[in-house]
Amino acid sequence: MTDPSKHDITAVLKRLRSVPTNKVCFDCSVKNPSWASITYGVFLCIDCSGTHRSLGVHLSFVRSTELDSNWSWYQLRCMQVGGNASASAFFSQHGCITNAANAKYNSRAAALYRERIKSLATQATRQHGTEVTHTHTLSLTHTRVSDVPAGESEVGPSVEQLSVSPSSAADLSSLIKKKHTTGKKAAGSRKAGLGAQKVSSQSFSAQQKRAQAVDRQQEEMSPQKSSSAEPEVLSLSHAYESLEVQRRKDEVKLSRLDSKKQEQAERLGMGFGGRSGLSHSVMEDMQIIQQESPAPSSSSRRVYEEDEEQEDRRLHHTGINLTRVVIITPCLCALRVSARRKEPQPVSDDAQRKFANAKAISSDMFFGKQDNAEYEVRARLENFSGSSAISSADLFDEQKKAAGVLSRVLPAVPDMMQFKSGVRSVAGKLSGMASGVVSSIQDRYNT
Amino acid sequence: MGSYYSLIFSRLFPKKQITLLMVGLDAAGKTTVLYKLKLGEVVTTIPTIGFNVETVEYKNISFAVWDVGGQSKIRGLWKYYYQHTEGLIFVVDSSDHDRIETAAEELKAMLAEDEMRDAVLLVLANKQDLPKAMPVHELTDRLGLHTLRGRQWFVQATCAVQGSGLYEGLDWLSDQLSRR
Repeated sequence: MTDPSKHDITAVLKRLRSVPTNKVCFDCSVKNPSWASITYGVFLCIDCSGTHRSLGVHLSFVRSTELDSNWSWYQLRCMQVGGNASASAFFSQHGCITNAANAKYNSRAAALYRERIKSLATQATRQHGTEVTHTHTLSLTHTRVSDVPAGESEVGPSVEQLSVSPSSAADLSSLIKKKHTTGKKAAGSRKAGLGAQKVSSQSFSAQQKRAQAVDRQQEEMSPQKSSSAEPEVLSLSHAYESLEVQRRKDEVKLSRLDSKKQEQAERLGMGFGGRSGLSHSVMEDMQIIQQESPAPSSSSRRVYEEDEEQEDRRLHHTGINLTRVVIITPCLCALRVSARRKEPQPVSDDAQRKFANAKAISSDMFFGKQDNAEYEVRARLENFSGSSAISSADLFDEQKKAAGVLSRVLPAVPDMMQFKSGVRSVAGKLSGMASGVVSSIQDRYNT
Repeated sequence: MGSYYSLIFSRLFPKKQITLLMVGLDAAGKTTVLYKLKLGEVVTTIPTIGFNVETVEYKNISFAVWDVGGQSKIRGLWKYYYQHTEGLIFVVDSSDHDRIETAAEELKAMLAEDEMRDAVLLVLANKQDLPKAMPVHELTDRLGLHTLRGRQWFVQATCAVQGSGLYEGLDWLSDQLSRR
């Protein structure tokens, strides 16, 4: 996916920052925060961003809305599906009311919210891709619906799912019995929750329409695809087609459930984002398998046809299917990565520099030797797997390595050198003094 | 009288001055490293906008360390600090697997600069205390240092908040630069 342009980034962030709840720091309520934690999709002031950075990237990844120019689409989607309001609602309803950053972001609520943002953002990225018009058109609808806070309804489908969470969250907090009724904050969060629900009913129909439109588009697209494919692969491609249609039906069904039964929706809704994220990878990776081992995929198709009614079982089967795909893909990825890594090396500018003055280049010189050298260096690098420091001398040159060892044996070498230079300067000064004395004596005797 | 002797001593053994430039991606821990060296304690930092500069005395060498902010928009300012830089300290967040390629690109671009051709390179593999931190041999590979010949480099595993590994790195730097 191509990265968003500077204009897109500033446009998206500017609109997000214009949301009233995003105008104060998530942690300390200082006005006009210009930093953001992508992990939670919240806006922070510079002081709190420092605290977040000290937690490590596994807990919070911080970027500046002003000083960072290379935001990715995924990161922008994280901010869009997040927002200070939904984050504070989630945290308070999971009974996490502490303000100490370390406790707050190491808590279970934080871990859950990280996962939620991750799955929602992946979904949004997949749905909208590099679609800038999506945000623009939505911004137009915002100006019309003036009472709805901008940004919250910006990514409709995701907000809709978020609106489900407070109910489940309430259940959970009642289980834990950590109810907190500190007037102002609770009221604020409830208000935010209501606002989000109001948006959800609107955005649901919009999402449904969009899903149907995508369905139709897909149906139109797929015959073209299969006709272009080879006749042998035709049946297989149909299998995937039907799979995809089924998946879409599932999605719509699930989202319908979402609106009807909140409990079930919660249960499925948690899996919903994750499942669709994974099923996406199924659709992507199946084409790879299709070329290599058609047999298992056709059997999976049979499985799908048999179990059309039983939703749970079907889900189960996708699960099985997924595990197989997931196992295979890392190998493929690894192969691809290793191929990519090794191929460009011989053709690097190193080689160009090396052979700049050469009048003849043999393939042996170009590939064989350098490859060997490369391999040797890598192999030697493996030897350092246990050490806490590696130097260029260690890695490349045995002779230099010996010198390095020597310097380690005699740790006072720099001191010795200092001493030497010191002695030299003392000697110089003494000789200067002596010559001065001699010359003054000579002067006296001469006069 | 004591100050007189120390004056004579400093005259006889003049301190070597070395200018170091410390760069790296944002949130790698540059400022924390700098103040751990200078003050010996962990300070609460905020993102550096602009630069910090401190002189650190170690092994009779006075290091002037320039710590420059690492956000992507202000990385363009690094080049103004290249002049007279004898040693480059490149700080990497070892636990940040997603951005190690970005770090490698920045490092490569910087080393290609003409003003940096004589600078020795110290890579601090910082944040080794965090989960899933990459070990130095993996960092050497992913930063492309194994292809970097014709330059003195050193990768040191560090943890700035504990202070481990920092002085080992300075040891190597002082060793390399006093040979010149």
